Amino acid sequence: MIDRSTAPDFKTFSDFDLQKPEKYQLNNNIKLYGFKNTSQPILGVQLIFKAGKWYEKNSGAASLLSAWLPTGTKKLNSNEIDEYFEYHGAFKSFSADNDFFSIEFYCPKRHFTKIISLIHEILTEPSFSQIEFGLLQKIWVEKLKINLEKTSNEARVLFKKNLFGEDHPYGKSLMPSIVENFNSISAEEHYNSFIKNKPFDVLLIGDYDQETVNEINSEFGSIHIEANGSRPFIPNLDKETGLFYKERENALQTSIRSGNTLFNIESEDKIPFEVTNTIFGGYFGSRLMKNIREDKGYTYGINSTISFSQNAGFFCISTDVIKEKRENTLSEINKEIDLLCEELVSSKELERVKNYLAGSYIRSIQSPFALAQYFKTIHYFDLPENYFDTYISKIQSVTPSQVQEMANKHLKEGRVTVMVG
Amino acid sequence: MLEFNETKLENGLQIISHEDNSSPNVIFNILYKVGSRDENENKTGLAHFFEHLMFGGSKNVPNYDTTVERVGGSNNAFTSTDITNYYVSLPSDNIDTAFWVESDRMLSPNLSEETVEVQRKVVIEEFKQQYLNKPYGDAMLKLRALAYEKHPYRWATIGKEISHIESFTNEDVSSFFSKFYSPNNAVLVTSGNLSFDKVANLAEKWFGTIPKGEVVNRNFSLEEKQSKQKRDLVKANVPSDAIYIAFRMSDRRSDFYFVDDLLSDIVGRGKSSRLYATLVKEKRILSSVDSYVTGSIDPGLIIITGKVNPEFSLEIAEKEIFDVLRSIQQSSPIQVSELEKVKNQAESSLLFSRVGLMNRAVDLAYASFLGNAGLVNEEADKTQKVSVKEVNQRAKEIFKIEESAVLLYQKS
Repeated sequence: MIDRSTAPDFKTFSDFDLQKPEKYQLNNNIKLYGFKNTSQPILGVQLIFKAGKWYEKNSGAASLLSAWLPTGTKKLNSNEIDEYFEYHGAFKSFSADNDFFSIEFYCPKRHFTKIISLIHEILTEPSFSQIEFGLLQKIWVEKLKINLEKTSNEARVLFKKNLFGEDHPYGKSLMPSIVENFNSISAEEHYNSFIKNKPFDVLLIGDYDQETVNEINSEFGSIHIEANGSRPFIPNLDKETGLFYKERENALQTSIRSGNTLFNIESEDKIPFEVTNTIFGGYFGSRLMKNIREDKGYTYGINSTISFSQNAGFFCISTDVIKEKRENTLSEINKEIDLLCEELVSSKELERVKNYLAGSYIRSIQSPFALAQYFKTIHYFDLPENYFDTYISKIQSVTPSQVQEMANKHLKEGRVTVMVG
Repeated sequence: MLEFNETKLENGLQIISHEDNSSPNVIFNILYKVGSRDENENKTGLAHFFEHLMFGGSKNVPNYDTTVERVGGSNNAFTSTDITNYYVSLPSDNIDTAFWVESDRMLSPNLSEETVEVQRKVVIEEFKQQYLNKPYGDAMLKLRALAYEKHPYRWATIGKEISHIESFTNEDVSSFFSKFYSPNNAVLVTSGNLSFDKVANLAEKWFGTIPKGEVVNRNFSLEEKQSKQKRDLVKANVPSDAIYIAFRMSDRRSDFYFVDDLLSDIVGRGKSSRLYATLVKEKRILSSVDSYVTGSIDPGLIIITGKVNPEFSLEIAEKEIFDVLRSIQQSSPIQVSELEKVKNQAESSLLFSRVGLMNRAVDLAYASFLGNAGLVNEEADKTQKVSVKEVNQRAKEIFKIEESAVLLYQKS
């Protein structure tokens, strides 16, 4: 008979070298980074511009441009473009986040040539049709209105506003009123200042070969590149600490968002805090989940996440709870923070979290797309090229007193809290 | 092409292994052939509720989640109308732990009153968060109840109403367990850095001694042919008027399934689909539109949903959707290039979905549930072989006004 009462032995994890990209340079000095994987006959390309929200002169310009750009070229209208991508089984994505503007496409290898030439056409010869702009405005306004009905979305919008301030690019969210009144000229200006003839990086992912690189060079290597524009002014943080509650009478649940700004990603606090935050609310077995979901049953889920942009980092506790239990939830969150600040974490719990984080890291590297993601973190945050090659030992070296120190330093004071519902 | 090996334990547990040594990871996936269609109509939501209880620990594993996390793994599960599927993702060095925790909870999960009471609260909050506390969240609850009259698909996996979840007793829970959570009602799949021999040995070691359970016999009442359109109008505090239309389609194992799936894509997948191009772009009546299939093992639904722009009435929007569908049947049938487009999309989606280990494991388990794991490698061909004649024929058979169910949300 087997012995079910003892856990099987298990191994802890050690460092390993993350696969580095192959580097190429196009004729115009644009850099191409390749992440090869031949398991499926597919290809993905990402063009990354420094042209996200951070650079906007008018709020919403980057996002609206990302939706408008692929709706027409000098030769093709929006229907023809959509038809063309969809016919070739290609997925395209034009998007803007806090810092970057990305043009991505993914397709079966056999359709690559056709797709890349259309991407080139969209990038260099957009038609900026007013009719298309009017249409997307209308669609977005409706979509945003629907999204804002959800308490969780409104809470996120208000949280960012209180965390960074209304005038800070990271504190702004795209609201229906902004889209409705947006002047399309500002989106075109954003294109002219930060995309057209401006530097970008190319990430090539999947089953590529030299011929693929040559094709990319012939499409994008001939674009004339000029120096990048800069942000018009550097904004100030305008944080509103404390609690803000917006009640909704008919809501069945209250959405809570609570957190604070953090150090930059290069800081030596980054990894110890990552461990601390994971213990606190970063995995299924976290203290917040145990207390507020598994013990109290106030919620379906609660977590605390960390995220970094180029110019700021923050952590955020998120949950949707029984409306009547919103205050109790806040005080339980505070109790868990106090506990982390006052008592050393047990070696058993710390070991579990370290193994979980190391395991998550190993598990995350299942595809070339994940490698590209890690590369972007290293590349755009100016981290050493071997940053992740010692990630596991850095995690393993965190001590209980460091966890306590991190909790006191970053979790305890000055949080911004928003409740909606 | 997904390579795999297969065997079966004496107690009936199906074992499938797909080996891929390109990363140091493995997915352990176990599918139980039980879903919300297996529930009693007065105790709906029990299959999904039971999924939650499976994470409450078992005889030798007091805490399931932390045990998996301690060895670097993560886990989750989902319940559908037809299946309940659990998976553990972990570095393959520690695969023994996955076999240990999964076999222990198949043998003796902790169904204590405490676990039941906490999960009851959690699931009620999940019900509110996903279905009640957001606009249109209850659409599928209402649409299922409208489209089906007899089959258990008439309720959603979360359950018909919160009171059902409140009413589950310990007796309900334990009899559900003994009926459905047996090795002969499950499929175990591993995908990743693990050989077939090792999987077979570990499966025998950890699951071999679990006794066989009763054979589940199912006998669902099938829907009668519908002769009159069914309608429901909901006045609610929603941001815009919305339409949900359900048509009856084939079951997942029929060859018609592949035709129906492509038909749904032609009608409403992507911006060049019939409905989007006509009603969102050209006429600007809708702000969004989509079409998808439920893909269930018993006859399913093609569901078309759209949000109406404020200048148009629900009546006009509904009429226009039916006009687009009618035009396919009459004046502008589906063209060869249109069919090629959705076939290319299906091919591409499949290639991309198979990049990661997770989908490969789930696809194998699901194919085995359908009757034959080898289907994972046959279905792409079946999709590519569908002809224009067939899709046009099915468009005529499926898009009938009198056989539709229409749910309207009117902004109050």
